[in-house]
Amino acid sequence: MNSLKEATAENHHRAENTELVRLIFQKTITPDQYSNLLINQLIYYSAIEQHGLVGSELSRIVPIVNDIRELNCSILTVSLLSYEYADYIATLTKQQCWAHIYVHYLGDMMGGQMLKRCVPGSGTRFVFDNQAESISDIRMNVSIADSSEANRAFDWTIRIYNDLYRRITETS
Amino acid sequence: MTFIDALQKLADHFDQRFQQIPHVVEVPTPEYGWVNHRYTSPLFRLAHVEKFVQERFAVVHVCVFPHPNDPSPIYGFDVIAGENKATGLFFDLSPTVRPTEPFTDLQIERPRERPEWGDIFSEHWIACRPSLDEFEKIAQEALYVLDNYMLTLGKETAKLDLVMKGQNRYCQQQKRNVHTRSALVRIIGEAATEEFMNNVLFPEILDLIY
Repeated sequence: MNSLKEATAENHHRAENTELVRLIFQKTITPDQYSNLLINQLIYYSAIEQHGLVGSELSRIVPIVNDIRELNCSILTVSLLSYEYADYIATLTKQQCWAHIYVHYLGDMMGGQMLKRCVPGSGTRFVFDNQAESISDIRMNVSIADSSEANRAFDWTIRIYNDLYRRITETS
Repeated sequence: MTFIDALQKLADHFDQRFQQIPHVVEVPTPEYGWVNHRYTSPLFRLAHVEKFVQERFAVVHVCVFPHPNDPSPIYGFDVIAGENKATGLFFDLSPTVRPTEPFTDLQIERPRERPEWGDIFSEHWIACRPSLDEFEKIAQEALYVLDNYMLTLGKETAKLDLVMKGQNRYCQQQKRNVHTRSALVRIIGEAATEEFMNNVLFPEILDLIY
């Protein structure tokens, strides 16, 4: 394997095939269910952004909050795993944190463009200014040496998605 | 100005404070017949402003629960008042995993006894039956303490299970307050009271469903 993309391909595939993501691609996720995903993402994206590596153009906090507000959901469900992941992120070095930025933010910019067409509401969290520059910036800061950490980011994501799927399908 | 006016004004100030916090999201709350505004944000798990106002009786309840990985105390402020006198005012930063530092220099007259279930409050808690002048001073202080409290949230992390245990114990003890329960039962009945106390006023961290 000679690239980070190849080294994380298996986990990337697993994440894309979680039941929660399938619900999105099938366009059957409800506004409440999608709001709950966003609320959970807000917890760990905030932890990532506390490292100070994500600039204002890349920051997802305001768009995620705007998307939650737009959907005006009727119930909020939070997975404790999101907090555990946020705590884990707080322990990372800056270089390790780049691996998590690679998984989440690059994911939002690349596959996110497909997701944008499938989610309820305007999906502003998938809209980026200067996307090409941000992609290049993230890629310059990661390498194959970050593959273990990037795979951990996928593992956390998959665990959270699975837990959240169970919770939101039980409550809806 | 009557106590009722003063309480209404204070509740609105609290509400404005929360609405101005960056990235705040309103938490959906069922309708019970009076004002219950709840918020969440990257800074805190849940903030609640309750404003119950009748012609001759008013209650304001404000509570802020930090996120379950944040060792910060729980902010709590409650006032119950008739037109011309307050029957109770309670103000505290209640500890979850470590003792609360002193948070105010206010000297309070006519302090109230700690209730039997009140071991959740810090040693610095304020409980009194204030005059209108005293009430206004304490209300200003409560807003000032809230502003400073907000600056301290999310700065440190602690083990989830410890914070959860502390926050859940706070909720469980608060739910033992027979005065709150009986007042609510008179207005909305047993079933809705149970739901309101468990899900709106003091939601424990179990599944984190609001």
